[in-house]
This record gives sequence, C-alpha cells and structure tokens, in this order.
Amino acid sequence: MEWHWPKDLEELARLLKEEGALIHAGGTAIREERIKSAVHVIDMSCLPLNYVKRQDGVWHIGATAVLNDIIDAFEGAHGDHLLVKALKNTATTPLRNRITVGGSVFLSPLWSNLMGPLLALEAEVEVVGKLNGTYKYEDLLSKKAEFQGSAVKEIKFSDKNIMYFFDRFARTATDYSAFTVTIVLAVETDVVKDAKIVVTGCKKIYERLSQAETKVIGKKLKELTPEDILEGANVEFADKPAGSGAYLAEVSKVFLCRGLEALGCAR
Amino acid sequence: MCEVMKMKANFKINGKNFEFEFPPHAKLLDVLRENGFTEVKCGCREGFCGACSVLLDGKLVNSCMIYAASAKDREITTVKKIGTLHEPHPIQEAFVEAGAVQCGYCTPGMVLATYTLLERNPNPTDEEIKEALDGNFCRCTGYVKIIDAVKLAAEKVKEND
Amino acid sequence: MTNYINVGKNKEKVDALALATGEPLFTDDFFLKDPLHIAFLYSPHAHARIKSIDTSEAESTPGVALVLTYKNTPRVLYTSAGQSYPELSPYDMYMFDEKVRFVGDRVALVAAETLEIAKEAVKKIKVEYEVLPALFDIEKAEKDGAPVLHDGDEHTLISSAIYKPEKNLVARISFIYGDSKKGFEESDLVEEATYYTHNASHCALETHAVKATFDQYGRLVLITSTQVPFHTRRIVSSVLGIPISKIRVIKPRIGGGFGSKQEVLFEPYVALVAWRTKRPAQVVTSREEYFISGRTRHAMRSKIKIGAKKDGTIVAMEIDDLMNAGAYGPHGPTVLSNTGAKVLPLFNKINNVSFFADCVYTNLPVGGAYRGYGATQGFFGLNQHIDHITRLLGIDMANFVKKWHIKSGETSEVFKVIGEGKTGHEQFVTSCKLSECIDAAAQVIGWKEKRNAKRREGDKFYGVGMAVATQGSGIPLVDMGGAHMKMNEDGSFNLHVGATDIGTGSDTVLAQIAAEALRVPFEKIIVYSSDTDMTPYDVGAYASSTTYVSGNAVKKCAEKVASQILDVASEMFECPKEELSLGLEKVIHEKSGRMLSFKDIAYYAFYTKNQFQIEDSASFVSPVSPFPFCATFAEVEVDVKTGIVKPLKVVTAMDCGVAVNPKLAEGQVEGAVLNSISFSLCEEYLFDESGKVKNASFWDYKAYKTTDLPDIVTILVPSFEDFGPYGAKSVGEVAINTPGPAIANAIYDAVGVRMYNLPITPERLLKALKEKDIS
Repeated sequence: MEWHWPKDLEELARLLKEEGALIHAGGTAIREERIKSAVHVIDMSCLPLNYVKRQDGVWHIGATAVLNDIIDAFEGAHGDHLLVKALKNTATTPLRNRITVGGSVFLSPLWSNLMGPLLALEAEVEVVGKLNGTYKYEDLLSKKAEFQGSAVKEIKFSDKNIMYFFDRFARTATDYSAFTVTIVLAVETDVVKDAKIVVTGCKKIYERLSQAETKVIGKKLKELTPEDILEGANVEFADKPAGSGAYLAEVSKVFLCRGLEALGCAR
Repeated sequence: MCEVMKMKANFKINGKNFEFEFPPHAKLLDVLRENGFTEVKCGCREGFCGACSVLLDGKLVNSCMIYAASAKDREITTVKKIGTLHEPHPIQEAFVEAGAVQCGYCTPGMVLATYTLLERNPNPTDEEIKEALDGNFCRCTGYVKIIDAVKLAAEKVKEND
Repeated sequence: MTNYINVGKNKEKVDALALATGEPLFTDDFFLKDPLHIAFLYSPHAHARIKSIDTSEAESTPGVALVLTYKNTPRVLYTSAGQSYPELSPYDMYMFDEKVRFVGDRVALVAAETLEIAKEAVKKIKVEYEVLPALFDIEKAEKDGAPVLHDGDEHTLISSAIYKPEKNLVARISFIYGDSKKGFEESDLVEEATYYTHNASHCALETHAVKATFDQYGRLVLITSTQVPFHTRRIVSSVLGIPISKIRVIKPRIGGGFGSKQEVLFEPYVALVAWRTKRPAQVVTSREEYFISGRTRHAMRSKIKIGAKKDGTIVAMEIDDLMNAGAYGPHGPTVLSNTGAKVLPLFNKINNVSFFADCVYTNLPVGGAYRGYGATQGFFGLNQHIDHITRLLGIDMANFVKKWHIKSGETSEVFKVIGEGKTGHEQFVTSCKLSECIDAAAQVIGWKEKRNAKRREGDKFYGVGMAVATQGSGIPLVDMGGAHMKMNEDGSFNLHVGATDIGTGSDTVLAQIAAEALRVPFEKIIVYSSDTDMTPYDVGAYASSTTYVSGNAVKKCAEKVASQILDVASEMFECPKEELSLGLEKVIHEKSGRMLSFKDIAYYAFYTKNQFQIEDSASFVSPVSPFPFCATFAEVEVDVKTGIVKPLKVVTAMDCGVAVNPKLAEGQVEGAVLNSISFSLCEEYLFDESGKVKNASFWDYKAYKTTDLPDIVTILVPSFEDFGPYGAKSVGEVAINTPGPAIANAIYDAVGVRMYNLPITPERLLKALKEKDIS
C-alpha cells in the first residue's frame, strides 16, 4: 500500500491508471476500511486545485477548494449566493475547512448540501484520468460507475441573471440535511425564462420537479400560487432519524411553497 | 502478532519538526496522542464534538477526521502552542476568568476555535461566535460562559496588541 | 449576610487554567507502559441464552493475552450502581453471564497488545445463541407469559424492598395518605393525563476510560473516569475478591459525568485483566459503545390525576408511574422513588395523595443515574398537568404555584413516607425562595404581556410557559463526606477531600469554604481530591450532595483546624484561647492588640515547642436534605406548517441558598438548562425491531450546540439555608427538571396543543397540530 501526493495533473493522470487507486481529498467521507483495502491512495492536497474564481460570469471552483474557501470567496458581492446559503448550513466550521468540492461532487455525502444547488445551476464537472473532459454534474451523478478511475479537476457554473432559493431540513443546525430544496429561476421582465426545482435527500438520489418547472416557464410568478405550481409534485422519502418518509414529503413541500413565495409567487 | 504495515512522515507540530511512524489508515488524532500530544482530546471520532481540534496550516480541523498521511509535511498547531500553564494566552485566561471551563475536556478545542475566529474577526458578534464554535460540543456549560469567554478574549487580545 | 471573604465570590476554578492549556489530566492522558488493551464482544440479541462459546481462535491470535467470558470470571452477583452500601439497587448482574439481556450486553472481552488486535480477536469468538422472546413494552412486563429476564439468584440487599424478578419487577414504591377517591368526589374538576419521558444519553464528552497498573507493593492502582471512587474500590473488591487494602482508586480530572460515571461499568473488567496477567491494562471506550452498552435516562410513563376545587384548591392527586429499567436495575429503585419523593412535596397542601410506581425490566439498554434522577421524569408531567388544570380553572399558573408551593417552615407528608428508595423521615423546609424565583423569571420573560397573547406572524405562533421544580442536597443519613486538612509553614493548607470533582468545580467550592472558615485567601488552600489512598472517604459526586454534604465536612474540618491554630496562639501569647480571634491569616488578641501571623504560628508548631502537625479531619452526614428550588420560564416559536419549535428565550431563576461561587453555580444551571432543552426537543434513542439502538453515534443522535442556542438567562435569587455551609444548598441537578415542561407549556400557550410525549420533535408536534386542526 502506498500513499501518493501528485504535484501536477500529469502525475495525477499517471497514478489514476494504477489498479486499486483511491482518490483522497479531504478524506472526511472515506472510511478506514476503504484506506486499508486500497493499493494506492492518491492524495490530491498538493495539486494546485484549491482555487475559487469567477470569469465572465462563470464560477470555476477547483476540486481541492474546501467549503469554507467558497464561502470566503463569495463573501461581499456574492454573500447572499445560493451556494453560500447551502454551505453555511453544511456540517461545522472545522469540517467545512476540510470537506472539498471535489469530494462532495464525487461522493455526494449527505452532509454537503451541494447537490441541489449544483444541479439547479446546471454545473459542469471537469474530470481527468480514465475520462477526460467536461461533463454535466447530472451525468456524473447518474452514471457514477463510469467515472471510477477519474478525478474531479474543477466544477463550473454560470449564475447570470438568476433568482434563487435554498433551504434544508435537519434536527439541529449542524445536523446533516434530511432533505434540501433548491429553486433557481432565470427571470426577464417578470417572466420566467427558465426554472430548476430540485429536491435531494429523497428516495431517488435527487428529484427534479420538471412538471412544476414547466408550469412556471413563460409565466409571471405573481400570477401563480405555489400550490398551483406544485400540484401533483410528489417526492417520496424514506424514513430517517429526522422524521418519517411521509413527514419529510409533506414538509419538503412546505419548504418549496415558501421558496416560491419568497421568489415572488402569489400568496 | 499481525504485522501492520507502517509508513513514515514528517510533521511540523507547534513549530518543531517530528518524524512519526504509523499505519497508512491512522488518523491524525491517534498519531498525535500516541506521540504525547495528549492536549488533543478524543470525544467521538466522527467529527461532531471538536475535542480533537487542531489547526492544520492555520485552519481549524477535526484531527479525528483526517488521515495522518494526508497531513504529511504540514504545520499542525495544538492548544499548547497557543499558550501553556505557565505562559497562558489571553484567550485561555479569558476562559478561566469567565467561568467557561467546567470539565475542561472541550476547552482545548474551544480555545483553538476562538483563536482562529479572533484572528479573522477581532470583534465578533454573538452570532459570529456561535457559528465559529459550531464544531465544538460542550455538555457542561450550555455554552453561555463560553460565549462570554470569547467576548472577553476579544477584549483581552485587543489590549495585548 | 456576613462579610465573607471567599464565599459568594467568583474565584477562578482551581484546575481551569491547566485544563485550558491542555495539561495531561484525564484518564487517557496517563500513559501506562505496554498495557493490555481491552475490547468487548457485545450481544447482537436482545434476549438469548449462550448455548456455546468458543474462544480458542481468539485466544490463539498472536498478541492476545487473555479472553474472558462467563466461564472464567467470578460468578458474583452485584450492581454497577455506585451507591452507598448496602446498595438499594438489586444485585442482578454478573461480569459475564450465560444469558444476554439486551443488544449491547457484554458477552466476552479480549485483552491484547493493541486495541486493533483485541478488536480483531473479538470477531473470532464464536457464540451460539438460543434466542429467547424479548420484552420491549413496559406495559407488558408484569403480565403473565411475559419473557422473564432474571430467573436466577438475583436479589436485593434491602429486606423491605419489593423486588420480584419473576414478574420483571425491579421495584414497587407506593404510598397513600388521605383518601384520594373521596377527594376526587369532592372536586369540581378531575383531570387525568399520561405523560411520557424517554431514554437519553449523558453525552459526557469524555467517554469511560479505566487504566489499571500496580504500585511498588504490587497493589492494584485504578485510574478511572468515575464519579464514585470509593464505591468503585468497594465494588471491585467484592466482585473480584481482591481485598480493599490491595486496591487504590485514583480519580483524575473527569470529562463530565451527569450520572454516567456513577456506575462501576468497566473497572472490574480492567482490574481483573490486570490482576490475572499481572500487567497494566486499560479500556478506553468509544462513543458508539457507550450508546449501545452504557447507561441511559430511564424512560417513564406517568399517569397523573388531579382533582381540584373551582378556587384552585387541589383536593386529591393520584400518580401512577411505570418506569423502564432496561435489562438491569442499577438505580432503578432510587430513580423510581425520586419520581415521587422529589416531586410530590412541592405541592404540600394536597391532603389526599396516592402514589403508585413500578420499575420493570425490559430487553433494552440499561437505565442509570442521570442528572435529575427521576425528578426530571416526574416534573415533566406534573408541570404540564398543573398548566392544564390552571387553564381550565382560569387561574394564572404563576400565581397558582406561588400560592400552593411548599414554604419555608413547612413540611410534607411525603417526607415521612418516602425517602430515596426507602422510608423517609420528617423534614421541614428551612429555606424556600421559589415565589421570588417565579417573580424574577416571569418579569424577564414578560409573562404578563405574553401569556395567552396568541401572537402569530404568518405560520409562526408564539407562546410562553413556565415550570418549577425542586431536588435535594444529598441523601440524608446515608451520604457521608469526609475532609482532612493540614497546615504548612507559610500558613497555607492542604485540603484533602474524597469529594469528586467531575468538572463541576467542587474542588474550588470546597477550597472556598475551607478558606472562609480559616479566614485565609483562597489561594492558600491546596486541594487534592478523590484518591482512596490519600483522601478521606466521600460518597462521590451524585445526588446534588457535594457542596452541601462535603462542604459541611470541609467547614467542620477547617473549624477544627482553626481551633488548633488558636490553641497554639494561646500557648504563644500565654493567654486564654477565649481571648483570641481569627483575623485575615492571623490570630488577634483583641485586648492587647497583639497579632500572630499564621506563618508564625505554623513555624512555632513545627519547630519551637510542643511540636506537632496542625491538622484535623471531619466527616458530615446530614439529617436533612435541603431543597433547592427553581423556576424556568420559556418563550417559543412554533411553525404550524412544519411543527418546528424554536426555543427563543429560557429564563431560570434559582434558589440554591448562598451560591458559594456564583459563576460556577450559574454554570451548573446553564449546563442543565441546555441539556434539558436538547433532551426535550431533540435527543432520543431510536430502536429497531430487534431492540438495537439505531442511532448510536453523534451523527444520528443529535444534541444541541452553539448554533441551536436560545437566549439562556440565569438568575440566582438571594437565599440562605441554615443547614448549609455558609448558607449553601445544592445546585447541580435541579435546573434540568424545568426547561422541558416550560417549553411544553409554552407550546401549549402558542398553539393550544398538549405534548404528552418527549422529545417534541417537529413530526410529533405537526401530528398533534393536525389532530387539532391547527394550521
């Protein structure tokens, strides 16, 4: 068993070709047994990937940027950003100093709260290794097996001219989320041009409420009530320590209603 | 006895260089404690309680959630670097003065969390203090005196500057 | 109050700086040379008989030194409850038994060179179980045909106790005075309801740890995270047959107890491993192990029936409690009796009372001591029921409680009929400022303006509620504390106490009391505590006893030392002792104006004439258990669409007599308050169908942190307890009894829904709201 600290992407790519390689970034979601069974552990920490930058309205976040790096980078002009809201409700200060974007995207652990916002923002993921290139985050989530042997290099998304809402349900402020709800709307002169409504924590790894999205596109929000928009949208949940499946389903809908109201729906 | 493969790595702890030997799956918490840094406490091994807090390259982290190997060549700070029994830091004095130390098991972690908070934000509000300490569990105090202590520490640190 | 120089002052906690700088002070900070590490095999079944157990593979694993099971450990019944002898808890456990009684019961242990080897070897132990029907429902425990957990020689040492293991009955406590049936008939209003409190974990930040080694005489030395070092020594001795003279128990700094360490949970095991192998041995438990196999707050069902007149006079009360002991009975009888003994005296003017309480075994994790100790369970229902009754009668609850609560100079029938686990004795309340507590807390919360105000903003409803409670100060005529003091040349004093500081600050408080009695600065007292070789006996840290019981012992001891100092001064001055008095670190001869410093006196005693060591010791056992009182007022926000409760402000006013150290006293209140809030709204054990704890981690068992905090306000109300050292009573437990019911009552005030079940999770509340059609 060997632990490697590649210094550049070429070295990373070379190491990714080895059998039994395990990618380690923050390591918070990797169990000891996994390390014990690995032949090679590729530690990402020496790669120059801990950047968070915005170019031409597009955010580029390097794989080893930790969650608090993002909160810090968004502070000020983007302090009320969807991602900031999601991340500030993620785990705790010391864990946010350690949990990386790459690990969160690749392993999508319950605590990271990133999944909903990244899906709603239609984030893309650049990977290196077995696969090389830029993929939709949604693809990575749905075809995880294909991405084995690849490492996340960065995620990117645009957030021009959009309105957003994020909330989550948990037992305490530092608990992992039982569910998250994310709404992202592109609005021009009061008319919704595009909409993304995402629920995570449900039975399926996530749910896009495409029916509800369709209902709002092309409409003015103030002409619709949340109940109209969400009619027929039923997301199923498993029972969790935070509540039964039925309860979580009901409350997630309350949260969505409130989100739509906050974004300007009729009451 | 079953032979566990071990690796070696260097760490800079509290300003001094060390080389430790440990199995590749060892957590930083255990490597530190086994080598005498018992000021790093263990409360849960799941990143909830913060008793095991250290600074890794200046950032507050849970040493129970970090594989020692991944901290190779990095700078680790424990509460002993902040101040000692004979040369305490104003933060530690503030915790004592405010009555924020009951059983004291969480205190090293709390002191480190306070240290990193005040470094970034010398005048924290109550809300900012609560957010900065959200990784540190305390069952004794209800956090009331701990929050008092952080405010007192902020005063003391400013006076010292 | 007199001019105290140490009492009532916020002296810095003596060990605080060492703790804040991370000095190696806790059990696991003591490094043994090449110790054996111990890992346990826990039962996967709630109820089973071990048909066969094969440890050969584990034993032959390289690095394994010893494997222990029921086959090679003493067949001695005992209780893990760290109580005074004879314990009131039944003797119903062996170190290991042929039978397992809950998921997490101990089947075997492995001692090995490393913990990893021990854990691996544990997996190699092969056990064949005969799975038995399990009992989970307390209501079924005493029914015919219920699985019987304890069918051997289990017994109790107390002849008067009702213990019927064949009926799964750990204890039955009942008493009647007056005629409640008649009382109900005479009442204008009779209301009955059933309230449930649940299991919860202590969550002491330091998990249990025990280290065993040997001294130069070959005696066994146990360094252990305990609240009860002397009980530990006695119990280890009796279980293992090692003479008490061969055991030394040292309590270092302790990372919180809250009752969890009033249990001799691991010491016999570590001691036996060390004794058998003649090698140091240790166990440092994990958080998961504590959740699965440690101790929990006893869950309880409490049925309360109250009959009242229109004017608010309560004519009769009936309480029917059923408590869940879990698989074993440590603290079962005493926690059970406290649900009445600590609760009923509060309203002492009820002439017709009947109390009936059973504690029963089930195949679930074991109940134990937990801060509040039954009073928490009892006061949760009672405070809600009083809220309910007073609302029906249209009487303000604060005024009601002020009118009817026990007052200074009064007694209660309850004192006579019930003590802690046994018959009580008459006692009068000697100090009670509960009415003042109510007024003070009501004002801060804004009771008059906010009560019944039906405030709402959108889906958010707001309300306020209150609750009151009492506890005790030690167990009268049972709990004893001892102190020893000696004087040094510079006029400093060593104070040796058996009292067990588990983070509460008792070392500091006791030093303040000693310094007060000797009229010396606090810094002149050097405290050393809880070492069975070096300090006098003390029962340990439980039953809210330390400040009061051990404090009185310290005061008595220091006064005896002061008397010796005066003796020496009288010899030095050649004047009668009666003409001398104590000044600050000196003895004063008023008539002549002459003075002798403590230093001069000490040098004289050590080196000059009639040389002797100025020193003395004292013990204290109290005839009474003075009652601390507190009132908590809470304000909450309820989201009626989700059931989420946000506690906004929780104000607790406390009558703990004179607070020897106000800051430390406040700290006790604040810690208890948040523990109660967290318990009432969030913390709970979740069990699967097999009786296994599903959420055995902080990941899934949630307790409140800084970001969950309401505004917590603590008010220490001036008070003086005649029996207490310098007017002090206890403060450690009482405040854990009130925030929960105050919040439940505030929820009712906000939304008109009564919450009978704890914890009040969003889902439970939403369900209750829907049943009442509130949205």
